[in-house]
Amino acid sequence: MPHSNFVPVFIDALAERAVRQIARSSSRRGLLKRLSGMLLGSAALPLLPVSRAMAAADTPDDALIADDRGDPESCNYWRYCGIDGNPCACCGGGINSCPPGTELSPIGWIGTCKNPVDNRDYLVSYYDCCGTTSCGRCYCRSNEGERPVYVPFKNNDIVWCFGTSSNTYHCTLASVIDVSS
Amino acid sequence: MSRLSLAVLAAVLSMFPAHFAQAEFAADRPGSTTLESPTPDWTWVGGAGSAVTLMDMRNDRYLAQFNNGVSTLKLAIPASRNEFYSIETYMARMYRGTRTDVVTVRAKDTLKPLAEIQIPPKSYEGMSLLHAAGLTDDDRFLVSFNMTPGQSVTVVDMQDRAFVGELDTTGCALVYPTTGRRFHMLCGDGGLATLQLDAAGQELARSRTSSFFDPQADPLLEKGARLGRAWYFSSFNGWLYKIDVADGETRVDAPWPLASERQRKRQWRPGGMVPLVTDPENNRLLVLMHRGGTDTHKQGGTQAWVFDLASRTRQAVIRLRQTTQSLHLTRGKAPLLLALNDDGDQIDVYDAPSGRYRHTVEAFGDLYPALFHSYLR
Repeated sequence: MPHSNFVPVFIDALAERAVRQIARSSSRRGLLKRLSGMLLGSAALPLLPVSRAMAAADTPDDALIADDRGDPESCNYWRYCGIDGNPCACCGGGINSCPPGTELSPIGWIGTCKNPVDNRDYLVSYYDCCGTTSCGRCYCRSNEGERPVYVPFKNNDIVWCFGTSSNTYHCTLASVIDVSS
Repeated sequence: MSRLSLAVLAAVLSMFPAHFAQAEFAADRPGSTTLESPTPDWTWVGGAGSAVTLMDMRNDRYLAQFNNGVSTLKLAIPASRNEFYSIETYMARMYRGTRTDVVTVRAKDTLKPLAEIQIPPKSYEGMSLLHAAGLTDDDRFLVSFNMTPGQSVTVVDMQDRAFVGELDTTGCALVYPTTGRRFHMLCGDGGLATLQLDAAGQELARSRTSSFFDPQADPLLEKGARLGRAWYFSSFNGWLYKIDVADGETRVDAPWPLASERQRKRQWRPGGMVPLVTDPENNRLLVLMHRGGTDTHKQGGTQAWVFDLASRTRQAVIRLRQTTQSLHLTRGKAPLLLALNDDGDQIDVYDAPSGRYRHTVEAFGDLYPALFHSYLR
């Protein structure tokens, strides 16, 4: 979400790995239950389809994507197909890392992007980094598969800073969470 | 001349310079301007930059500004009171600290805050949308959409200036007021919810249509336009839907295409931040159109297509001077068409009926403008 002062919870790298580990080893229903517990334990967020999307099996680790070529500081980078905002790679962070001084929202929206190298579709979860005003660099607006606000888990107009200590939007991560079926 | 006479003369003469000076000079008396004699062309411009500016669009005159906290613009203007409402968010330390959401009641003529009504700190934040909040037709209740990301609405009594309560609207979003203290909400299953409030602002009735559009294959742009009781929405691919309320029932007419088959082949589609506006004087709809492929629903438009709603025919095409994100029609018998450019730094002003370009308005305060609201309702 660009051009807004707004935006909030936090999953650290450990929690992220935990989610992936659970995703690899659990049934969809089992993961939902555990993920729900994690969220309730942290910020009591409702479990939306966006979270459920994280539950699908065979979640690849980013490092396992066959060939992740491209420039994360360019709007043409394949993971940005569903973005409307400022990639954190242009703002002092990375594709999976919030810049210093910002806080990762634990919940985001989902896009499906094709990796041009292996020609496979991946589920990309876009997480906002929150806590300081918009970075303003490399504004990207691709919107592939983006849907209106009434389909929130596919919407990038919403400031996805829920449960964080600040709801001020700064930039967006593009984390591959699954192979699209 | 006696000494006394000389003294009197000197005293009298000494008064003259002051007298003359007073005749030539009147000291400034600084004060404040009050907004008077508004015209139908007075228009608020705002978005995500916290500065909400009032401009006389016909005369390119900057009139006034207020700030709305760290929230995107959510403005409601009653017809029956000399005040207006802004839903605002504040953080205790500007961008951090405790969040407080309020409805600020401001005087229309001085813009001074008259009252503040605290509401749950969960109002929608995101890209500016005209439909994040709305007033019931009788100006009594302000309904504000919440996103946490759970979905609900907050109801505020603007007559008693009091928070009424919150209604769970899971699965449905935004607020489209219509007749009889009702408002619609668009739902993720491709249907529409209609809620009705009673005289105390409590939920009186709620209905839900069956799915009438495909939210994945061809969703409705949530940026609708109202004319009378009816709301008009276009789908991504340019099918126009009319939502109406008759005898208390929500009715959805069969959609019709904005673009001919040939135009659709050339990929003409609606898009932008405010792509639809209605012209109540002439029962017309103006749609911001561009040429683009799938999922270009946020792409700015190069043309405004003018439709007669009765005959469902395109009557005119206004070729816009620059790619445009938001349209607005001012009020009155000779409305102006306002077109906010893609960069958000210029507003092109056209005569609405003819499409004749008049002038361009610049430097209107907000860094990220997106929305227009007429000062008069």
